[in-house]
Amino acid sequence: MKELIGMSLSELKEKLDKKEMSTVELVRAYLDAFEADRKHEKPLNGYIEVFRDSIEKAEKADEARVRGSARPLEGLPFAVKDNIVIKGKHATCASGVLKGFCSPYSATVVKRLVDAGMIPLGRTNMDEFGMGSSCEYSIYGATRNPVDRDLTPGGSSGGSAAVVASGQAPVALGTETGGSVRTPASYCGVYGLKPSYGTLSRYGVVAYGSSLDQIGILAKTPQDIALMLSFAAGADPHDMTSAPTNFTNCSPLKERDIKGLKVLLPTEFLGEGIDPGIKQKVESFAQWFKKNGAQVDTDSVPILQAAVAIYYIIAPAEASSNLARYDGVRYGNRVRQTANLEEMYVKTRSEGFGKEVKRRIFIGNYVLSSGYYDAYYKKAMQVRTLLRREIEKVFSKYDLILSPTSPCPPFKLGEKVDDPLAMYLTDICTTFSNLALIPSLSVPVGTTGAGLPVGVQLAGNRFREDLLLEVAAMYHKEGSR
Amino acid sequence: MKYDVVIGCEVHVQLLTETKAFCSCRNTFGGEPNTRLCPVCTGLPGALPVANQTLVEYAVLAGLAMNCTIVPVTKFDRKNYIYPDMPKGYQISQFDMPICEKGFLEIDTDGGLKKIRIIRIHMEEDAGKNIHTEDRSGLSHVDLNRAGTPLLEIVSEPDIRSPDDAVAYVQSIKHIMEYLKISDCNMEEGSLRCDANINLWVYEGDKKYATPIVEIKNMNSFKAMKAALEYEILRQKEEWTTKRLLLKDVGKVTRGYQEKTQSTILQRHKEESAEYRYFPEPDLKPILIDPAWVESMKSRLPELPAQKRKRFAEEWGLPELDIGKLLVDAELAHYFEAACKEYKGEPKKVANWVITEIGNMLNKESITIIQFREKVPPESLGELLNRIDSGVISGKMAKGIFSDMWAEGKTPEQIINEKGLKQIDDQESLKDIVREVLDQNPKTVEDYKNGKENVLSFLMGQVMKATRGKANPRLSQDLLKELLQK
Amino acid sequence: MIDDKTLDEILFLGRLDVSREEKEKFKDQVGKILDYFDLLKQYDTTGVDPDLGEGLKPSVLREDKSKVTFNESDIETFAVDFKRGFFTVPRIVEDFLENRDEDE
Repeated sequence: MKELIGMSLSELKEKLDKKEMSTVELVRAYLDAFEADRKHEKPLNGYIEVFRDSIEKAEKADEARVRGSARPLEGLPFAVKDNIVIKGKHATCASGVLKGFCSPYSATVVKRLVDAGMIPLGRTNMDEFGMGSSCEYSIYGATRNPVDRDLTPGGSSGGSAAVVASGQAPVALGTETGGSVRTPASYCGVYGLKPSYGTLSRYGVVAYGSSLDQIGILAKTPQDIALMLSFAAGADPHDMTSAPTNFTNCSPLKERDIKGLKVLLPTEFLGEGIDPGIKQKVESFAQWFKKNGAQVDTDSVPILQAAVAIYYIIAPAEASSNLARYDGVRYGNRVRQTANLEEMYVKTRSEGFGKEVKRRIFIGNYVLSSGYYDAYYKKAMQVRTLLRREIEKVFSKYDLILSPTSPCPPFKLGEKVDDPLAMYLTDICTTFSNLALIPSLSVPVGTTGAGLPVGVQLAGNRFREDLLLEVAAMYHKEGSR
Repeated sequence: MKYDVVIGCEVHVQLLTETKAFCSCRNTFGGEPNTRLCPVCTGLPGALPVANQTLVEYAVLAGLAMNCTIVPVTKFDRKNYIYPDMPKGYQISQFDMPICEKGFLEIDTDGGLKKIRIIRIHMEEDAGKNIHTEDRSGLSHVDLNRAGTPLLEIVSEPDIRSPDDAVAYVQSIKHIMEYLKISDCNMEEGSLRCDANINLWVYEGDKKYATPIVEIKNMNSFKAMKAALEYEILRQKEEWTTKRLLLKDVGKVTRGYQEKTQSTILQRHKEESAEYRYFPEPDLKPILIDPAWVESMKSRLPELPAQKRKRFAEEWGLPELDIGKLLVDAELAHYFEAACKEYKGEPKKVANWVITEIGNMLNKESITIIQFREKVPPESLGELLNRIDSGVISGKMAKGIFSDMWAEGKTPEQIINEKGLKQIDDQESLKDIVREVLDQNPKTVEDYKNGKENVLSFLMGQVMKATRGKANPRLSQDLLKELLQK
Repeated sequence: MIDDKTLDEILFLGRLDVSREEKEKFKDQVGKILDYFDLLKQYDTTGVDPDLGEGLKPSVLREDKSKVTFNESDIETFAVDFKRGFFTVPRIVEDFLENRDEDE
């Protein structure tokens, strides 16, 4: 029999609904898995904190089932990235500046899932403020990849991917700004959805690049993601950029006829710098499409090559402003015994932020400064317009864009920490969907010859999450790996 | 020395919305510190601003009232600077796409009406307050109640040519805001704040020199504004004579007005002052303003001071000076018009009463016209004046009754009846009184008969004395003459 | 490559400090990243508007109705230094140059 912790959210829901197990048993299984892993010689370090009160919540969930007042997702656990706030819990974004910060309110998405009955299991590790692609820039130390503990799990939502892949949580919330859910999903061999900008409320998500940020969902199956989405999506009066989408009917996922779908394979994501093992996986995914009657075209979309540069201007620009509030005045960590206010600011921020965050604040302030604004920030905003137009054009002809999620398989911890540009370039396949506000899903498609997980990325038109998940579910069902 | 004074104003007004600009916290003045806060206005991690629709409506109303163009697309921007009263490390403001552009105001000056052009009106949020303690703790305190209060910033062209005109300009904005009921514009409480940019254009021969522009801050009353600008003119004249500094060499500096010394002093030049790194606020989408909606907002505009001025002249035939005094306060103008509806005589008489008698009363009692009208509705004033005209009371009696109306909150009718103040205009009883007065003053009667007609006023006085002022003056006079003829 | 003056000015905008030992490395890393951005120059953006996202009508903005806000205990859950109703900070240096200007 399959172990509890290996099951998908949907399987667990069925077992709970049939009363084949209790919520307490289930929650305890995850906490035990976490505890067992801590004794490992190289612990995964996926959680920053597990919530001991999840057991009490599980007891209440069981009582609710006995009373017959169970809510739709009653007792199903989930993990939450440390940059999504939960009322009464700490949230640090794995940063020194937010040490000790306890949130007096919950993020809308967390609130919706909790209101539907779900139980937060713990806070997951991440690159500080979401700035990184390897989950190494954290004051809590790096998270390890469950497949090979000397490798990175990908970032920035590395903790979320690791806990799902290792059976410490059935599903997890991550966040995306330029690939932070999809990259770790692909490195750890799980599904990772970055929804369209606006699908999930950003209220309570600690801002990094506000015009790009979006909560993402990491799970073992597309159906699990659909289930979460059906409760979490929809306009939020607390977030003007949230969209009045309706995903309530996307779960359970419908049978999708692959026949007749039009798929584009951009040459920009298959050329130089793409690992051959990954390229081969993408091509075999294309074969699967063709076998099932889809049309797959290979063509060049040159503007995609600009995505990383646009992204690493706009995201740091917004970040430099978003992170200005961490000044030690109201909350978080303050460096004491300073001569005056200015010194408090500089010391609090210089000691609180890690190297990568400082680099991005610097770049952001640089590109927004009067002498450089036009050449960098304004230019990037204009090229972003061009990119969005091109992507719109693509979707006027195609249903899906197929590509690798990451150009490379998971790399060794420490390999790129001191080479920021090399780290940035691991985002070449992902940033365009954040810039174009469209949904993208990383689909686990097995391993390279060396046994390393590979993710293939499906990108769809805005608010077509349903299409991505349905196609992935068909692929998943056929077990075509 | 031949020169022109050149002044431009940046006026901030706090708007009387129910909630703050970007969150649902109450927007009110004062109160216990830090009691109107939420994740948004405290700048907590993850909190997002959501624009208040009333803020946009009020900005459009203000723009229309100041003859501005309302733009079809407007957006918010972030103005980045770090200060303890600025919880997010940036202020949400508007940079290159303000909601209103290119307007003007006409101000009432000694030299007649003058047009002051308005460059722009934009929406933004207020900061909290830093409180600098004097104790030895070495600490400052921060109160964030005010953080997020909606503001309009109204920027004029440098069209103002004197401190008096500058005051008139800001007062005229205050009047418009009050007419629109979108701000209470209380300078002492900071709901209206004005910074002025001032310099001189000095003429020597056929050459014109511009002296450095000084931005004056910290002017907390109209009096302070006038004093600060007057001081600054003197200072700049002096500086020109001794140093001949030019705008193109020095640029712009900031000076703060000091109430104590009635002078301005140089403010520390903040290193990043010019480096606000404005960029579009990604948390707030651009706002699309439909021309049809703007048209519908026009119907919400009340009659504004400029229109009222015209109408008061045409409809009520009042002199310019009276109109100016009535329009100072929209409520005063309302009061005047309501009283006119009740009064059957000349509007000018109502205007005199509103300006002089009510004006004095408001000053003496330190009350507003709204408080006054609660006890003395305009209909009562009209009625009082009608009584004078119909001869029931004298003008002098009316003033006494007016005081009692305010003190007791009663109608003229009630006071006249209760105090027996009704004018004695019954011919027979008045005749008895006149006769008695004449009997008591035989010498004066003699004088009159000898041609000294001016003793009549003395006899009138005696009649009034005998009736404690209640005698109908005209009738008394007629009776005096009649009886003296005998 | 960024010069030291620019480095310090931009660091100051973010109220950040980089230790003397790290400075050269910081300049080198950031310089390479900025160089990479030059690839955007190849795109002709004449007359292209910056991407601001789609607009909204005022009618869909937040209704002006007040809601319950924090009580003091809410503030105490997160506040780093909250005393007698105030957030407290090291003394703020005054903005004025006390009467020194006349000699300048």
